[in-house]
Formats: sequence, structure tokens, C-alpha cells
Amino acid sequence: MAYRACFPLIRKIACVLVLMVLGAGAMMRAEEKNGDNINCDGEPVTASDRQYQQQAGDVLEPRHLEIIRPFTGTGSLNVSVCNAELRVRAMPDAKEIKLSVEISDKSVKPAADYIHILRIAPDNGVIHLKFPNDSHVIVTLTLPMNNGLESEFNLGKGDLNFDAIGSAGARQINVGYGHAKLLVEGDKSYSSMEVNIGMGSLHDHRPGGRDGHFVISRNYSGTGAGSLEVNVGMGSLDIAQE
Amino acid sequence: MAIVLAGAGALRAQDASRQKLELPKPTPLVISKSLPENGTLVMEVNVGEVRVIRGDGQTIRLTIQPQGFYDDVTVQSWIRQFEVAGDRASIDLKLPKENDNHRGASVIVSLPAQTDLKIEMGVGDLSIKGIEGNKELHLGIGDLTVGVTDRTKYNEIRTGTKLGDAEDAVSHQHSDGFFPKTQHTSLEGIYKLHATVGIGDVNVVQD
Repeated sequence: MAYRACFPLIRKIACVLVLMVLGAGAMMRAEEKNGDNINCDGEPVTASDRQYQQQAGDVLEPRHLEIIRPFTGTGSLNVSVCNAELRVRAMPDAKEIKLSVEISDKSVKPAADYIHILRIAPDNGVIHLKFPNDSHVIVTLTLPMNNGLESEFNLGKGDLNFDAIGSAGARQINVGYGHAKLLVEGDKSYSSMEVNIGMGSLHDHRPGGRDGHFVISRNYSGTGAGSLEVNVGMGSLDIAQE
Repeated sequence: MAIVLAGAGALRAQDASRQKLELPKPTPLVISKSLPENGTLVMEVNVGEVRVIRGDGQTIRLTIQPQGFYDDVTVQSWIRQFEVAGDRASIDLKLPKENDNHRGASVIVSLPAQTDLKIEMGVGDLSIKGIEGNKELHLGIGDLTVGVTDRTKYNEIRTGTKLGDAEDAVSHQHSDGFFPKTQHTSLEGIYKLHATVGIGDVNVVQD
């Protein structure tokens, strides 16, 4: 009876997440009212919808992008990617943000066609990339993440590798469906960390770390600067340290 | 005919015996404290289903309904904090989750009608109904529903989620996809409502 009484919450979360994430094309179709919304229909972005100004030095090859912009590591940053393997690496001394994209599929359109928004000022950045569902794309971001930065990293479907060592500020990570790996320096990479998993598992590989399964919500206190919030809708999270 | 009537009688008797066999429900834990109008509730919950509703008078009542059979000491241990200092109430709940997910709990908090809310929740469903005041609400994963009785009392209503739907039915705004949000501002009103979700849906509805 208890099983049946409580099951609806888990079932509901699972169903909502499956509909939300796996049905990306339909569910994640954004209304055009909000220009910053990202439409994950897997189609290339039309020129009229693209918010990207090419600059000297931008490498725009069919299967490879490399774009560098000045960035102080403070202010705000919003990164949203529909489908990809997303790698984020904090570089404390850097003065710029570097985005690189590698596409291994030959069937998809040129990589630049999937840039929805790339708008980076020294203290304010927005990056929205919408690669097709079945593509294999690696997106790598290296950037300074200092005190005073409010950053968000949203990945609809795919794997996230987030190296938080040397990062600070308020960092929020959302992975709809996939696997996330968070690399930290013990408890020095945050002052507080919240981990939520709608349906899946948590593996904390740090000494004394506790694993968890199904619905997970954990809070950690740390000795570093800034907050970390990691939400994984459906999938798994590994917390590792060097 | 007699056979049919006899059969119906037997079925009624069977139903009656089935009702008698219904298992007892776990006993809820209820704790009440005084809280004046225009106070503030600061609340943290890890997982579960939480409803915040309007209560009677100047009282905050915390009801935890376990969905399995736990002893009182265990249920009490889920309450890490429940204090009222002046006009500020603090609740911190760590409800059961891992390894035994099927035996969680639902929570009802009833409050004075005019109370400011600051609520942080990890995973689950959070709903607010019948409470007027400033609201800062954040849910990591799940559904967040906030009722608004009188829109004119709010000078700002902001909702947002990173992946899901954001709907403000009171201001007739809807947004979905990645990073959806709604925002309504007005020169009228004294309250602010900020409701955000990491992954899931956020809805502002008419109470």
C-alpha cells in the first residue's frame, strides 16, 4: 500500500521528464514571444533568428567552430545547448571565453548554422546552440568564473563534464536527460552545493561521499566561494575530485 | 430471481467485509505555533509534496503525512528545524528519500493569510494557495504552482524555469522550451512574486 501511495510522485516526475526531454522537438518548441528561448526542433537556425555577429578570428569550418571573446568572469552568463557533449572548464586567470565545437557527423549542416545566440560582452554572455537530436557534437567552453559571476549551464540531452576547480560565483547546472560529471577540489569549489536528481543516480567519488538512487536531493557545505546547484532531470551525476 | 437477490446480498456482505479490511492510514504529525499576520516563513525541504495553504488566525501549522508506517521518533527526526522567532518562522525538513523512495511523506503548512514566503525545495511538487505577501520560491526539479488571489496587489510577478513550461495565467503569459520565463510588472501593488524552477514547470494561477 505504501508503495502504491507514494509511487505517483516518482512516476509523475519520470513521466514529465520523459515527455519534456525525449520529446524535445515538440515539447521544447519555444514560442516566438521570447527571443532568447531556444527551439530544440533539430533544425538549423534561420539567418533571421540567429543572433551572432562574426568577428575577425572566428573559425567557422563546417565541422569545427572556434570563437573567442573577451570575458571578465563576472556579471552573468547563460549557456544553453540542446543536444551535445558539453565540456566546461574554469580558467581562473583567463580574460576571455573560448568556445569550440566539433561535429563528427557529416550529415548535419555546417556547425555555424546551429548557433542560435552567441552574444558575449565582457560581463554578460548568452550562448544558445541547438544541435540535432541524433548528432554527435562536442562543445567545449573554457572561461574565467570569478566571484560575482552568475552563470547557468543548461543541457537538454547529452553528457556534461563540468570542471569546477578554480571557479566561483553562483553556478547553476541543469541537465534534462543524460550524464553529468562534476569535478571539484574536495569541498573547496563551493561554499554551498545543492544536487537534485529527478530520476537516476548520484555517485560521489570523494572520500566519504555517499551514493544515492532514484529521487535525490542533497545539500553540501564547502569552504570555497559561491554556490553550486546541479539539477539532473533524468540520468546520473558523478562527483569526482582530482 | 432468488438466486440473483441472494448473489447481490452476498456481494454487499463481501463489500462490507472489504471495507472492514481496509488498512489503517499512517498517523500524521501535526505541530502548531503562533505566528502573527505579516510575518515571514523561511522554509527548506529536500523532497516530497508540499502544500502551503491559508489557515485560521495567527497560527502556523505543520502537518507531515507519512506514506508509510514510521514511529513518532522517526517522523520527528525529519523536522530539522521548526521555530518561530517574533514574526519569522523557520522550517527545515529532510524527508525520507533514498533507498526507500516509496515511503516518503507529504507536507501541509497552513499560515496566516498575510505571510511572506521564502521557500527552497529540491525535488517534488510545491503548491501555494491563498497566501498574500512577497514570495521567493525556488524548486530544483518538479512542478511549482502559485496561487494569486488579487493580481493588483503585486507590482512584479516573475516566473522562470530552465527546461519546461512557465505560465502566468493571471497575467496571461506563457513560455516554454529552454529558459522560458514570464514577467509582469505594474505600478500598482506592494508585493513581489518570484518563482523559479530548475527543470520542470512553474505556474501562477488565479486562487
